[in-house]
Amino acid sequence: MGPVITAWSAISACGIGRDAFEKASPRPSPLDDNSPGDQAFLASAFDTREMLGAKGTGSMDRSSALAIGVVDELLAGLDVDERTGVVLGTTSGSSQTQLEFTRESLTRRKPYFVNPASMPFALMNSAAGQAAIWHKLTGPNTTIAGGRMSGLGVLRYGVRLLATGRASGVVCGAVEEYSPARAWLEYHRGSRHVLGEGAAVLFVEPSGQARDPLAEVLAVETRVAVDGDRAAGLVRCLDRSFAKAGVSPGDIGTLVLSAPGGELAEAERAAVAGLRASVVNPAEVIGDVGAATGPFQIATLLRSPGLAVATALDDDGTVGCALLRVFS
Amino acid sequence: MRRVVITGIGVVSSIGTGAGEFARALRDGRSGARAIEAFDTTGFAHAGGCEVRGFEPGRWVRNVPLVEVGRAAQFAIASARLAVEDSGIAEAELRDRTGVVSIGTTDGGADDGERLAETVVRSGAQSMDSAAAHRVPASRLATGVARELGLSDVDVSTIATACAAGNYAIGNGFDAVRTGEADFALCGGADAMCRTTFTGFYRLGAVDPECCRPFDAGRSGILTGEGGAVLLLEPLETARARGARIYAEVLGYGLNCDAHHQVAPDRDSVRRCMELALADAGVTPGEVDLISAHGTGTKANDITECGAIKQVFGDAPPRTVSVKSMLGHTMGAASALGAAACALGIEDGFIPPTINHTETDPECGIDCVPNNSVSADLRVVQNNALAFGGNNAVVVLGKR
Repeated sequence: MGPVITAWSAISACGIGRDAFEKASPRPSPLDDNSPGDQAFLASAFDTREMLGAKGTGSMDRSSALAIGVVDELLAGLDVDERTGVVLGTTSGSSQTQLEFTRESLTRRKPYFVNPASMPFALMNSAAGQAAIWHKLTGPNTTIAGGRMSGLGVLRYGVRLLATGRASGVVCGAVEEYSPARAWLEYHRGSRHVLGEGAAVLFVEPSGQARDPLAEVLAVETRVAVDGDRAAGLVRCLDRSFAKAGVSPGDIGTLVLSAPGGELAEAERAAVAGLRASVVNPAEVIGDVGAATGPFQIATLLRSPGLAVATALDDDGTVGCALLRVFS
Repeated sequence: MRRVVITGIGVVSSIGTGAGEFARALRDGRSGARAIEAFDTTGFAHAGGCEVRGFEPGRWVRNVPLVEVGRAAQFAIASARLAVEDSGIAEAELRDRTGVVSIGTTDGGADDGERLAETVVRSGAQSMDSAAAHRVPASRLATGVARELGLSDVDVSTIATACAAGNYAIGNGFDAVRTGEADFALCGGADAMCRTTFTGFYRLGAVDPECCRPFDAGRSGILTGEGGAVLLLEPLETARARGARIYAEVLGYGLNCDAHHQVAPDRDSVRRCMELALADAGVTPGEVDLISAHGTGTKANDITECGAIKQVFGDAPPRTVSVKSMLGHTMGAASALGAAACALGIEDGFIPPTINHTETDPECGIDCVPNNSVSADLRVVQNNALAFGGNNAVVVLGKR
């Protein structure tokens, strides 16, 4: 048996933890922060100070806080060793922290009158590094900037770490904060979807360990649609996944989509038109959570035993899918 | 597991572009330091850095519209193109193979991001440049390489593990080729000069007012730099079959996390990472001929790193150099440039010097090959990388 998922957790507009994600049907929160949208799916139940305390969190970015929080949820009751890795996906880190750093530099009396404590939080690897520090995870610690492909990129990379014995188990996931800075960047990239914020993580480890597997990772296939035909690229990923795992497309019971709308959604729907699976899209529940979409898709498909597929596409031309066998 | 070799090297740096020119610059101990021009440095008492001057993106970025490609992605693309040309593999041939494109970076598209932030501060968020907003996501570095070279059957990843990212990407490419998942890898790192990085290090008092002098008693910090380096990796059998020039073999690598402090490296954890790398490479410390150190030139880094080196190698460690003395700290590109330097040293038989050196800090206590390169037959070379977040990555190259 290939690598397996043995635990997961999530923080989103649904609330904190697995039960919240399974049961809640959140409404977007109204915004009055001068951002381009008037509502967003905020993880309001997660207050950094309340959840993590005041120590070390004064300059902390929202993404790092969410990462620490969700890994805390995951590891509650999970016994892990010192070769446990953390692999998290992102779009470009905490845009708000980066914006505020530049704002300080440009508006204070001297350009270097900036808050030095905020600098490491402005880097993209802050969330994964912080999750490791707070939970003493000394295995490989990797940040993959994959945008909307982060979930698949992280899973593919994490499985590779297991195959080469570099980690005993890997916390695979992604984080996306909501902030006005992110909202404006998305707006100027042409997105008009209701944004969401969230963090979701899976624990992936070799099969045959003590924990009962929730699902087996049968295949993760990704490629780049260099000719611009995303749908055709995604079809090739699906075909290769089915061939690799020796399954028939007709056996796929659940399909979890990623795109919140627009051109990506059209390509995604065109690529999966031949599948007769029941279709879900977590963006309808928690909003557009950007880089965090992937692990939320996996968390969603874990509900339905049988063969399941999660697909993903990014504006930059990457496409891909994951094929899993979910156990009952 | 297959053996994996480096058959192509592509470099864009402040001291030379292309493998040949870069090798000559390393041998000559050239310095890339000059006054920073990438952003307005008014108000800083000193502002030296290692910029790439005279870079013409249009020479390298021919297929992807230039407006979609930020400066770091331009460096990644140029480096990848140079690596492919250097390997002697036709681009069309590469398109038929299953591959990996893995590019490490600290800042990704943050240079565009900070110019957008300036727009927000001066004119409001409504006025942001839409094209620049599209260039911010760091994934553009690796996908930019794939798009430019027409590579569709590739697993692309932009690895954002700050200043160790280049080694991470090389390790990732190595694993994919070693396990047979991929038949080639284009892997390395790229970063563009960023005001944020400079300002942050300046504020911490970690930018040297004159030059970068790793391991020197008088050192006072880094110089920020920019550039890119990409290696083409392929299985040994494939390289041999086509009669390729083999620079070096990737023997192994190690990854771990301090899980201790956000910015201060942890000596025992750095030691552990080197041990992991040597074990993965199947070599003993006594077999290592040269260490290309992370060697930033800050007080804390150099002492901690040299301490960890002595824990692994004893009181007389192999010669330990820092190419950052020449290139500055090129962030996510740094360890990729370091690995390129190691591979060139193995192939051409020389050790790049640590320049700007007057007197070795007794607390470092290593032979840093001061100021002048030396000829040497190198069999095994270790390339270190440490990063904020406690992200350590060590790559071991060699020839057998």
